Amino acid sequence: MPPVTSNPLTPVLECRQLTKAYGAVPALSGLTLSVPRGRIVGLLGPNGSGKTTLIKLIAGLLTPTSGDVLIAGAHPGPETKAIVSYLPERPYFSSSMKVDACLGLFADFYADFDRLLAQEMLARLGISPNMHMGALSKGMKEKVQLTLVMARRAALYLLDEPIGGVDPATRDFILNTMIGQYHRDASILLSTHLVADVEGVLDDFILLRYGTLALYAPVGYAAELGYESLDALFRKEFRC
Amino acid sequence: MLGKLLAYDLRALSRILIPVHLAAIALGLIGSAAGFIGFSSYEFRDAIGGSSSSIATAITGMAGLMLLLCIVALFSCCIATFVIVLVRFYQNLFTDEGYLTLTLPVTAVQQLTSKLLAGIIWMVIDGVVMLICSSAMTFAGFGFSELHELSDWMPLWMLSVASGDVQTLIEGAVTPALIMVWALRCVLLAASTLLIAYAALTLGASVAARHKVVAGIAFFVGINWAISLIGGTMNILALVALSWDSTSMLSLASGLQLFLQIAAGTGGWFLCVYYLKNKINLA
Repeated sequence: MPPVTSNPLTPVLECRQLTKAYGAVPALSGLTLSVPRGRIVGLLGPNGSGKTTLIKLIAGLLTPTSGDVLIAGAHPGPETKAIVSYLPERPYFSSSMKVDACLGLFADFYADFDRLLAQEMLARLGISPNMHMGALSKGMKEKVQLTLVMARRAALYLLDEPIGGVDPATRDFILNTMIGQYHRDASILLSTHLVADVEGVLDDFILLRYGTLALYAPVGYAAELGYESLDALFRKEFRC
Repeated sequence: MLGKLLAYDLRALSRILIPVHLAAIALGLIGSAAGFIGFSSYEFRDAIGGSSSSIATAITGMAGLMLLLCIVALFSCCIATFVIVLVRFYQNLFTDEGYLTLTLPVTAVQQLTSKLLAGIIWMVIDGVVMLICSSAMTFAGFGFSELHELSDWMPLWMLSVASGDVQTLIEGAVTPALIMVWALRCVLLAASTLLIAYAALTLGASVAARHKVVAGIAFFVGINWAISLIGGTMNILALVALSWDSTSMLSLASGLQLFLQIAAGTGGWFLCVYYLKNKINLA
């Protein structure tokens, strides 16, 4: 198994005939794609298209049924987890943990974590380090988790539905934080079905349909196809 | 990384288990008081006789009941410790917390070692607290006077039963070195039991589509049933081979049980590492 490489020519993410089935039901089928470094990529598709499955495979939370997923040339493991910053769609800290303890955990385990930056961001949000995670609202928990994830200098950021289920002001904060903390040598894979809200920040998009790759192109390709926007393309492609 | 993981796992367990063991210590004090009151009342009744003896008898009875309830509650604390260790293992790996735990840059071996060490540390603390409480209750029950026989010391019985070697205590051949061996056997048995339980929960989480915890409990019961079946069969065969010499048989059975438990625990270790490394599917 090749080690994680810092070679700039190596794609930060590569999927080779990646398949994941739950019993007889395929969530992903034969997905093959390559994401270069330094791109913000939207992972788009309706509910059940395989977006979360793909992200969890990359994060090492699922085992492929067949095929490969490579992060900077290596299979998911401790080495890739050190360079991947993952934001799931659900809260994952114990409700009894204080915000400061969450900061401490990230600082202990991730060498690329900028604790001072995270503390500044939380202070701007008005979140005290002594607050328990269980006492925070859903939106506040999302903000805390996003702050911790984006305060890392990772090679690949996996953001699973970061703006779903939160108010518009929080949505703006999340997108602004993403862009504000983003380093151009890193890549972001952002999954969402709220295309109109994110297309302004995307470089490329991956369109999934029933677990297969429907389209992978720069955002400008939607205009080449004659659509007003990426959102218009999405609505046309997945019209019920 | 292992040290950091262990610190977090111990912190998570301590948050719950420190209050549990403070309660156990309180129960030990109450039980000791009950034991001493019962002893004193019994001595008083013998000394004065007459009508006051019925009151003293009632007090002795109530004190005995309180002592029994304290012993039952202490035993419950032991069970609670084991259950809480398993609950934390499952929650930290196979529920929402797993989205954090399983994306940390640590190996499966480090994850499992940390949880095993944290569990063993707390089971040893639990054992020490139980031994101290039972010692206090034993001494109080004898009016804090010298024990007449070593076999009167309840903690010694607890240690010999937990280590699976009662025969030596019955024969009265107990030495300090042997007590240390029993303590070591208890730690090994605790580690093996934890690993079997971890493996059962990991199998349940990996194999079952729904009701994963129930599946894990079923695997745990099944594995222990299999160990008992294998151990019992080997004991019977050994008994026949030793021409029904029950004295040698007790030692052999004890050693065999320890061997089977450690072998199962070792198998549990490798199973957990394999599943955590290659078969994780966090829903």
